[in-house]
Amino acid sequence: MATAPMVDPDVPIDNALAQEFRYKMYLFKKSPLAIIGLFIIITIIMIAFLAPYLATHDPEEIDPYNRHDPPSEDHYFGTDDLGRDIYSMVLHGAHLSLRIGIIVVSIALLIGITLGLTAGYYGGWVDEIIMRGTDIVLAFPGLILAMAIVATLVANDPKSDKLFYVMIALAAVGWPGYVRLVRGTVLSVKENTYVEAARSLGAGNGRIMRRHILPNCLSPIIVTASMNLGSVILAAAGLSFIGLGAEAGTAEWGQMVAVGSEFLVKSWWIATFPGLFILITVLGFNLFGDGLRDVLDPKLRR
Amino acid sequence: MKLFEFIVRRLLLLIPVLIGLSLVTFAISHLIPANPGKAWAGEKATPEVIEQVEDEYHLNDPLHMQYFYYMSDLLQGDLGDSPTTNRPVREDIESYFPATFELTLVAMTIVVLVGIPLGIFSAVKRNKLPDHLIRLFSLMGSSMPIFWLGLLLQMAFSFYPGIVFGIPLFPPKGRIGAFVDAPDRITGLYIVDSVLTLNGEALLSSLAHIILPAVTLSFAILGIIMRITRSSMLDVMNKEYIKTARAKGLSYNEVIQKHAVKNAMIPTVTILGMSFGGLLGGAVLTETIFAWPGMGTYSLQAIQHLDFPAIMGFTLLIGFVYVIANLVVDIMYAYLDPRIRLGG
Repeated sequence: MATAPMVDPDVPIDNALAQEFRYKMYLFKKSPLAIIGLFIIITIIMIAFLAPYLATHDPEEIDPYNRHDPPSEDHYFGTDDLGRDIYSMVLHGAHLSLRIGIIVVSIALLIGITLGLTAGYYGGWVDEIIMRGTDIVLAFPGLILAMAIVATLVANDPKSDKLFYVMIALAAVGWPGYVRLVRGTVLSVKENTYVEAARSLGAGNGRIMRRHILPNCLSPIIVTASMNLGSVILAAAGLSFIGLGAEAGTAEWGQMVAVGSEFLVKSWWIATFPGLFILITVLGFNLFGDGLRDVLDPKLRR
Repeated sequence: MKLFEFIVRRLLLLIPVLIGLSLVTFAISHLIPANPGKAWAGEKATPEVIEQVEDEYHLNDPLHMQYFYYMSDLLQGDLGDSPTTNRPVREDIESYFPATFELTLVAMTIVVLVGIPLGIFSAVKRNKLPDHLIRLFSLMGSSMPIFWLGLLLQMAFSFYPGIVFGIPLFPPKGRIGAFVDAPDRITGLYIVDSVLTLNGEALLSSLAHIILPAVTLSFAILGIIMRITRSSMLDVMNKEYIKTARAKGLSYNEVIQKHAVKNAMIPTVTILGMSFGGLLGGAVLTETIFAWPGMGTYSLQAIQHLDFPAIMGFTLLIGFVYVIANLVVDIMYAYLDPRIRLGG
C-alpha cells in the first residue's frame, strides 16, 4: 500500500513495474554496505567458478618437502602440515561452501513456502498441525539438533559422504523458520481485495496461492534467504570443524580451520586464511540481506 | 491474578511441546538408524551381542511399546547408561552441565554489557558515522565463525604472549588451573562456589580461565542483540509519548534514559531469551576449542563414539532447557508489558 504513490497511475502496468524496480535499484545503490555485500558475493561466486584457473597448485597435491611453509611468493597463504597449498585449497573451498548453502536454503525454502502457504491460506486444523510441527523442531537449538541428526545418519551409513547428511540435517532444522515467516506474511496478504477479486473471477485455490499471494510475500522471503545462506555456510563450517562434515583432507573451510587448530603456534596461517574466507563470505550475504531489507521494506523508507 | 493465569496457561501449553521433544529424540535414535541394535553394539559386534543389545533396549518390540519404555524410564529420570563412560547418562550430565551453564551465563553478561549499550548508542546516532561503524561491527559479529575467533583469541592472548613474555595473558584451555583445587561443590559454578567458600585462589583462576571462552561464545549472539536493540530503540523514539516528553521540556538525554530505553528493552529481552539456544549450540564449538569440560565437550565425545543414550540425553536436556528459557522470557514479557496478558 505504501508503495502505491511511487507508481504513476497513468503509466501502463509493465512500465509501472519497471519504474518501481528502478526506484528500488536507486535505493539499493544509495546503501554502501549493501553494495559492498553484493560485491563480496559476486567475487566469491567468481572465485568458486574460476578456482581451477586462479589456483597456483593442485589443492590435493601433497608436497613432503614444503610442509608448514609460511606465506611466500610461491605459496601465497603458506602450506599445511602435508605441504598442500592453502591458497589453492581456500579457492576450491568456495565452491563447496556455496553449494552447501544454496542446496540447503533451496530445500528449506521449498518446504517452508509450501507448508507456510498452506497453513496461512487454509487456516483451521491444517494450520494447527503444521504450526505445532514447526514448534517442536524450533524447540531445539538448531546446531545441536543438526549435530544429533548428522551423527545418527552417519552412524547408520558410515561409508557415505558425510557432507550429504550435513545438508539434510541443516535443511531439516532450517525449514520451520520459513514456515513461520511465510505463514505470517500470507495471513496479512490474503486479506487484500485483489485476492477476493481473483476468487470472484473464478480462480481456484492453487492459482490464487501461486499467482496472487506468493508473489506478494516474496520480499521478506528473499531477505531472510539471503541472510540464511550466510548462516547455513557458517553452520556447515562449524559442523565440519568438529568433525561432522567434510572428510579429513577435503578443501573445506571448516575442516581446514580444524587442521590448523592443531598447529596454531607452529603455523598460524593454516587456520587463519580459511576462517577469514568464511567470515568474508558470510558477511557478504549478511550485508546484502540487510541492505535489501531496507530497500524492500517500505516501512523503513522514512 | 491475571499474571498467575497466564503462567498456568503457558505451563499447560508446555506439555505438548515436551511430548514433541521426546518424540523427536526418540525418532532420531530409534527410527533413523535402520538397525539401531547394530549401531549401538558397535560395528564389530557378533550377532549374539547385537541380539543381547536388542533385547536390553526392547528393539524387537513394536515402536509404540518402545516409546512407552523410553517414556517410562524418562519420567523416572532415567536417561539410560552411557556405554563410553559406563555411567548413567544422568550422572554424566549432572557433572558436565554446570560448566556449560556458567560459561553461557558469563557470555550472556558480556552480551548485555556490550551489546545493549552499543545498540542504544547506534540508534541515538542514527545514520552518523558511529551508527555505521556499530552496524558493520554487529553484522561482522553475526558473520563470525566463532570457532575461528576462539582460535585467534587463543593465539593472541595465550600462545604468543606465552612465547614473547614467557607467560600467557589468559590460560588457553581448561576451567581452572592445573595446580589449583576446584572449589567445594555447592552450585557447580566455579565462580559462585569460590565466592561462597571464600576461596580467592580458585576465584582468580576460574575467572582467568572463563574470559576467553566467554568472549568467544558471546559473539554467537552479540550481533543480533545489537541489531534488535538498535531497531527497537528507533521504533520507540518515533512514538508519540517520546515527543510529548520532549515537548513538556525534558532534555534529550533524560527522555532517552527514562522513557525510550526502558520501553525498547522489551524486544531485546525476548530475543535475548530466544538466542539462548544459539548460545548452547555455540557452546559446543567453544568448549571444543578451550577444552571446557561442559555439555559441548561431552556431546561431541558422545557423537564421536556413537554413544546413543548420551546423544539422546543431551539433545533432550538442551531442548528442555531451551524451552524453559523461552517460557521464562514469555513470563517476563507479560510482566513487563501488561497488554500481552490482558489481550491474550
